[in-house]
This record gives sequence, C-alpha cells and structure tokens, in this order.
Amino acid sequence: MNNLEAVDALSSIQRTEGRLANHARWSFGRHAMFGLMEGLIIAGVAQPIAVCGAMTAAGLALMAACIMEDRRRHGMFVSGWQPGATRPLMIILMLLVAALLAASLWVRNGETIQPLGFAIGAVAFVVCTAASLRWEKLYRAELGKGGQR
Amino acid sequence: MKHAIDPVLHAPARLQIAALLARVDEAEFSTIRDIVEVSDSVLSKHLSALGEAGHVRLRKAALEGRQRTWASLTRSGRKAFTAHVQALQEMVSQAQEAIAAQ
Repeated sequence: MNNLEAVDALSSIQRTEGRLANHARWSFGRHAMFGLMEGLIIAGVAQPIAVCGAMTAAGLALMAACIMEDRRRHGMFVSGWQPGATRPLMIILMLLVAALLAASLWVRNGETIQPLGFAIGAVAFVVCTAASLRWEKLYRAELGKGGQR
Repeated sequence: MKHAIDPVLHAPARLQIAALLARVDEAEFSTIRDIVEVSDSVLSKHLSALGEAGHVRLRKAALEGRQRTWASLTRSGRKAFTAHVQALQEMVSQAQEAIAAQ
C-alpha cells in the first residue's frame, strides 16, 4: 500500500461515517422514551414493593421497546457506550442517575406512596431526556468530522 | 511503523463495512448496504470474508416477520480495525513529514 492509497482509505472511512451521521437521527419521542424509562425506575424505587415492581417492569418494557424500535426503524442499534466524544457524557449521566437512585432510596419507607419519589423520577426524566438529545448531537458531530477511534 | 496493515481490511468495501460497524453495536444487512453503497452480492461476499477472518459476527434474526442478517464487529475485529486505521494514519503522517523535510 502506498501513501495515496492510505489517504484514499482514510477518506473512505470519513465518507462512510458522514453517511452514518445522516442516517443516525432519532426522534424526540425516542429520547423521551429513554428518559421515561429511567424516570419510572428511579421513581419506583421510592415506592412500596408492589408499586415499585410495576414501575420497574414498565421501565424495563420501555427499554425493550426502545431497542426494538431502533432495530425496526433504523436497521441498527447503538447502545450509547460508544468510545469517543459521547463517553464522558455517559459517565456523567450514570453518576447523576446513581445519585438520583440513591435519593429515591433515601425517601423510601417501604409502606406508603412517596410523592417525593415521583418528583425525583420527574427530575430523572428531564435529565435523561436532555442527556439523550445531547448524546445524539455529539455522536453525529463526531461522525461528521470523521470521528476518533 | 508501530501498527500493521490488516490484509483483510485492505479491500475498500471491507474497510467501510468495518468503519460503520465500529460506530454501532449491530447493523442489519440492508442498512449496511445502503450506507456503504454496494450491491447485495458484494456485501454478502465481503461480510463472509470478514466473518471468516473473525472480524465480524453474523446472526440471523426475524424482523417484521422476515429473517434478516445482523452484523457486528467482534472484539478482535475492533482491535484489527483500530490498528489498521492507526497504520494508515502513520503512513500519511510519515509522508507529510518527509515532504516537509525536503
């Protein structure tokens, strides 16, 4: 392989990533589904066991729906834990989710419905939906410029 | 050069397939075909070659009532792709340094 072929090969990778960037567009509803999934699970943790079980099951069902919808609509699945510019955002998000989960556990008494748990879940919904929207922007921007490996 | 060119990834279409799969967890045959812009038969041939080299994992799964082929990079495939790209980048930067030195 000579230097010109190497340049051509690198350009072809950039073109492929550019086409993937055009393909990788998720609707606001898809981002909100992710936020709702996290919000349901986090709010559920503060509630009595039966309500907690129902909310966790609903959250897990939403997660399965997200994966199936991605595969059906886009013909691909991207988990979010991609290396590159999106990784720091995911680490920050997981720390925030862990903090919200801890807060939800803290307000739990195991016997009565905890309205504060729903408020924490609502915060998780907003944070996770916003993070998901930001993730897509970073992912597509990185693909658009050729990306890092 | 610190990194080696991978002969399996030398073919342009295979390199593009690997570049796409490196950025997703899994992609379906027709999505890869549309993004890489190759025919069904060419894609099928290259996916088989990548699968035989252990770079790509292929599986069949039903989607909307039809059997579809899904492809993902294996761990060794991801490593090979990363090393291949680094080797290409080294070649280009060495050439640029040689031109600058003249």
